[in-house]
Formats: sequence, structure tokens, C-alpha cells
Amino acid sequence: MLFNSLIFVVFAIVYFLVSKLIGNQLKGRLFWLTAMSFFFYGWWDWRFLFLIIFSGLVDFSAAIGMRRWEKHGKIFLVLSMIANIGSLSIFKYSGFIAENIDLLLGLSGQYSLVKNIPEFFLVTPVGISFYTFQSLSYTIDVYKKRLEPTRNILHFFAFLSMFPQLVAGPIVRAKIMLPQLLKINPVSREGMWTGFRFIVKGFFKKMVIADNLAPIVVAAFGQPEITQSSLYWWGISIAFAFQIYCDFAGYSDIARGLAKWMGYEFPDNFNHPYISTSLREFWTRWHITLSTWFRDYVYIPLGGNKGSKFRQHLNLWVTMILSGFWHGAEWTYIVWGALHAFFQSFERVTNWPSYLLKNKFLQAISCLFVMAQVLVAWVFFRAESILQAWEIVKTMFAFTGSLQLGWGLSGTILISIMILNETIVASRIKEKIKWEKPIWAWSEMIFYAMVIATIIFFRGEGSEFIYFQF
Amino acid sequence: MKIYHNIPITLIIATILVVTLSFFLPTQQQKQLAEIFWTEKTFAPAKFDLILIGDSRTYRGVSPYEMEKKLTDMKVLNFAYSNGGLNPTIFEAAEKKLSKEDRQKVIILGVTANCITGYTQNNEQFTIEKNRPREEIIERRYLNPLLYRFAPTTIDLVKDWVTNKKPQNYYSSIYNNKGWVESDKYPADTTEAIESYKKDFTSFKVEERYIETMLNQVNTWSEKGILVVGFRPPVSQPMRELEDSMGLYNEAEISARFEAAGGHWIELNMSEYKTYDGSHLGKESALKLSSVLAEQVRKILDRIN
Repeated sequence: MLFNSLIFVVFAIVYFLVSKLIGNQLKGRLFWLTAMSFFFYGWWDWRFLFLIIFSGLVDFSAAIGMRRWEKHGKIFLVLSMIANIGSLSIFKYSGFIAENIDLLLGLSGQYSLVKNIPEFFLVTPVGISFYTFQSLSYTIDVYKKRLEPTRNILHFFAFLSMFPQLVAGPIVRAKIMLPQLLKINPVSREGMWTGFRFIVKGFFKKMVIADNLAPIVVAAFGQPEITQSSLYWWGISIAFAFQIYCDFAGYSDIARGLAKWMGYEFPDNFNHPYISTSLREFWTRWHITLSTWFRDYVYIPLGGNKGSKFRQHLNLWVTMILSGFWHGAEWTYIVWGALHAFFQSFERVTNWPSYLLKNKFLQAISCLFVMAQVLVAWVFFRAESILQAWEIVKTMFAFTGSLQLGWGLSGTILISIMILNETIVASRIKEKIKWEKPIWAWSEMIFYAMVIATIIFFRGEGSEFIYFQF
Repeated sequence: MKIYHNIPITLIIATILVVTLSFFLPTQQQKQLAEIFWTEKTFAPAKFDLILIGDSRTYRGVSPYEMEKKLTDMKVLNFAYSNGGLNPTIFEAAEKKLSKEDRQKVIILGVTANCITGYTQNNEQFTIEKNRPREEIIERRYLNPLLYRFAPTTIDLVKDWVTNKKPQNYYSSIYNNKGWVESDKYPADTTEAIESYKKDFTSFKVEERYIETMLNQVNTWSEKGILVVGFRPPVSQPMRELEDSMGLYNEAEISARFEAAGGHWIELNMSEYKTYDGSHLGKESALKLSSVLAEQVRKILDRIN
């Protein structure tokens, strides 16, 4: 069930109406949230409900086991990791692993591993990477004694399967969400209005910007040969940068808005990443809940910034490559992660951003340099193959050909809107406005009404959110 | 200042804006109407006495309403699809649309060369429509008919509207109920479709196995008491020659074997019909063809009863 479908509107109305009827009965609310979340997830393919229930049951029991038999806590942690990483490996990576073993050992015909994988395992359940990571953080935190396990199975499943963020994040950790679920949090009018604005902004990003940029990007990457100019491919890369940003940030905004209406707080997942003046800053602004997850559960346990310089770089590379692999079972994602590791290593060694922070102009140069690196990496993320990505990057740096950007009128307008928006954020104009003045309150309402009208009339061809596949 | 009804006020302003704009903005209503049309056709109930199957020449060329004027006791459905192959997939689906009531049933096959080549045997459009996710089907059938006024527009459409730019060439497609797309092209170009058919016939020809499958079905239906009628949808003379030469379509042989299998073949005088692209009939010709087909079916029914 997609947020941008009318079926979801009906679903949400039913959910909120019944929640209102249930009122302050905690058990009832948890049951209703879990039941509706399962319905929401089962709408795609009810068979995968068994998977989420299985991995949930393992983690719920493992966490209780860790407390009951503290000496053997590690066994329960390993059990939980086997269940989670195991199901992720089977459903997301088995095809990729088998394909590469086939290639390495030259296996084909009846000996080919790919051909012997049951077909069901080759279908990746929607959002498996998101809920698996969420569930893993729960058992790791309980093991590390950062969190007390819940003994209420409804409480646990309400956290794990919570529909606003179940399939595409934000990855909300147990220590943030479990305490919230035990309280009845009345939603104020301000909370409702904030949630409403999140939802409207989210739909605008997804349906107007991302869905209208999608055909431009699809057409460009769908070509059998790379024949266009350098500027064309820089333009396409920019179009994809805003498409993926608006697609994913749009989903996160809608999820946060729905959570607000439900009385919960989700962490911020995007904070205008394209105004970053260093790669380090970029990763504090892009997919924040995933990057902090990798920081806390991979980078720091590997040693983080401790140890020799070489060791620190190695930790960074391992984390970034794993992050790439998390996105998908393709070499293109791994190279994307590795490229980001390379750019960050370069940044750490040269410390180049520190030379460019002296004034606004140099900061803008710095921002453009970061953006250029991000754009090159996006080419690998989006390309159909490494070979295609390499051809595109070569063309980008050949600096030849015509001055056509390949956006057309609609792409130019949409990208200009986004650049203008990011510039306004970077210039901090909004912070100078006195929002309490009635004129601004009315302006804001008229602005959001216009955004709604824009969503209705300028919505692109409805499509799934890109991050569902991860 | 705190305003306590921000959301309702915003929604009211948005509603006023949206309704107002819906009267002015050029939108892609046609696209939404097409979506409703195909979903309604695919999921039409089993209540029809006469079903037409075939490809785009049939769904653009035959109006069920026009046929019902002559066949007043029958309910007609045009169940043809783009690149619709005449094969078991569509035969089975078409038969399911027949009414269960004890009345004479008729199935009409628009037998184009395209329908009996390998190119159309996947019945791609029908399969896509049939296998759409259920939420899309629900949206298309029940919500789009209410909301099509608020169909999306595009920046380019708005630009043309603002600058008052009229398209030089355009197709007109009106999606009628019961499966007929009333079509025309301005200005008409009767050679337009030739090139693409040449390309298709380079790789795909009429094949005996597909003719055999069709004739077996004609036989099966005839034995069940269903009246099976075949015809070659009219096209331009150059297109007809192309189909006969490159596509290996032999109408004389096909019609003879069709009748031998228990069906009835309707011969049409192609020069009486006008196509707008060499392949598809314009509205006037489509109405005429529908009327002729209905008369011929009536005659056959009178003869066999």
C-alpha cells in the first residue's frame, strides 16, 4: 500500500477514526496499531508477514532470554543476528551471492547456483532492510544494557511493524519508540498542524518533484549507448540527485507527519543534505537514521576514530561499503559506498573543507565541490551496470558536446524550485521571519493550500518509492 | 498569533482553489478516462450476448451501441485489446463474459493479420489489465470516475494553454462504454501506419499454428451452440496488399477454413470505409461497419433459426 494511493487515504481514515474510538486504552491502541500495520504490510504480499513475525518473535524472545540468563547473553545475541542477517541474506542477497559464485567458479547449467535457488527466495520482501535493522538495534541495545526488554509482545510488535515507517524508514530505534508507545500522548492543535505540514511537504516532494523527474532519469539511463554531452550527464545526475532526495525525504516527511498525528515523534531523517560544505557534514544530513545506525552498530564497534590512522580509514571504508551493500545486492551500490569512503578519506587526509569556510563565497565553492562528488557517486547508484556508470562518468569529465542539460521545461522548473528551496534554507531567511504575526499565519495557510492544489494538478505518474526496494 | 483551525481553513482554501482550477486548467482527463475504460472492459460482468474480440482495429472500428440498434434483443461488448492475439487466453476470457441466460450467444472475431502472428500471442495489454494490483483496480473502477475532473496536467500542457498554442497534428479518442474507442486523426494520413507494419511483418508472419488454434476454438464454440462470426477489419488498399504479401495473410483461405470449422465469415467491401492512418477506421466508418456487422449477424441468425 503506497502513501500516494487513494487506498492509503481510506486506510488512514479508518485507522484514525477507530483510534479515536479506542481512546486512552493502551492495550487496545497497541493491538489496533499492530493489526493495522500487519494489514498495511500484508497488502503487498501476505506471505511475507510470516517473515516479519518470525524475526520479531526471535528478537522478542532473545531479548527476554538475555535478561533471564545474563551469562549466556551472547548466545541470544548471536541467535538474533543469525535470524535477522540470515533472512536478509536469503531474501535479499542469495541471488547476488549465487550469481557471483557462479561467475567465479564458472558454474552453469544444472550446476548453476542461481538456477537452483527457490524462486520465492528471489523476491525481496518490501522494506526488509529497514525492519531488520530496527529489530537488530533492539537486541543489540538490550545486550549492551542500554535498554530493558519489553515483556509485552503487542508492545514489541507495535514498535517493529509500525506502519508509517515500516517499509522505508526512518529507522526508529527501540529505545526511542518503545517508551513512547507506552504513553498516551495527546496531540495538540499545533502538533496536528505540524503533522499536516510534514504530510503536505512530503507529498509535494514525492508526487510533484520526484515523480516528474523520474521519466527524465529513466529515459536517460535506459539508453543502450552513452552518446550525449558532458553537460547532459551532469544535468541528469542533478535530476537524479533531486529525484532520490525528494522521493525518500518525501516518504520520511509523510511518516513523520503521520506519527505526529498518532502522538509519536520520529527522528529527523533528512536535513537539506545538498547544502553541506563537507562530505562529513553530508552524512550527518542524508538518511540520518541509517547513517547513525551504521555509526553506532558498525563504525564504533570496529574502533571508530580510535587506533592508527590506517585503522580509522579502514573502519570508514568497511562501514561505507556495508552501507552501499545494504541498499542493494548489486556491485553498483558497493562501488557507490566505496566512492563515498574514498571521498571521505580524501577529505580527512587533506582536510580541504577547513580552507573553504572563511567566507560565504568559499563556502558556496565548498558546497559545489561536495555536490560534484555526490553527483559522481549517484551515477553509480542509479546506473544499470558498473560499465554504464563508468561510461557516463567518463563522459561527464570529457567536458565536450552541446550545452543541453536534458531537463526540458518541466525538469528545469522542478530543479529550480528545489535549488531555490535549498538556497533559502542555506541563507536562513526563514529564521528571520516573525511567524507569530497574523499575516504570516495566513500566508502559511494559503501557501499550503496552493501546495495541495499543485500536488493535485501537477502530480507525476504514480510510482513506488525508490527506497521500497531496499 | 495562534489560529486554532489551520487545517480546516487550509483545506477549505485548497478546495476552492482546486475546484476553480479544474474548470480552467488543461488536464489529462483522457488518460484517466482511458484507464477507467480498460479496467471496466477487463472486469466487465458476465451479462453479454454478443462479444467482439480482436485487436485495435476491432476496438476502434466497432461500436456496440450501434450494433445494439440493429440487434435490439442483444447486449454487446467490444472485448478487443491493443495487439490482441486470437488465442486461448482471450478465448477463455471472452467466453466468461457471455451471459448465463438462455439466449443465442454470438462471438465475433476481427481476424487481422496481426492477430494470428507471434507478435500478439502474449496478449500483453489484456494480461497487464487483468493482473493489475487490486488497489489500482479499485481506484480505476470506483474512484477515478468521481475524480477524473481533477486529472493531472503537465507544465508543457499549461505552457501551450497560456501561449494559446494549438497542436498541428492530433488524435481524438473518445472512450465509450462497452469497449469502443471512437477515434480520428487530424489531419488524416492514410500512409502513417504502413512503415510500422512493414517492420513488424519483417519478423512476424501469419502462422499456421495460430490459425489452427483459432479454428479449433471456432469449432468448439460452434459445437456449444455459440454463433461464431469472423471478418477482416477494413484497412486501406496499400495496407491490405502489405498484409497479404509481407504478412502472408490469405483471406480466401482463412474464410473458407473458418466456415468449414463451423463459423460464418462476413465479406466486407473495404473501399466503403475510410481509415485515418491506413489501419484504423474513423468514427463515421466505424459506425457504418458496426451497422453492417449487426445486419449480417441478424441475417445469419434469421437463417439458422
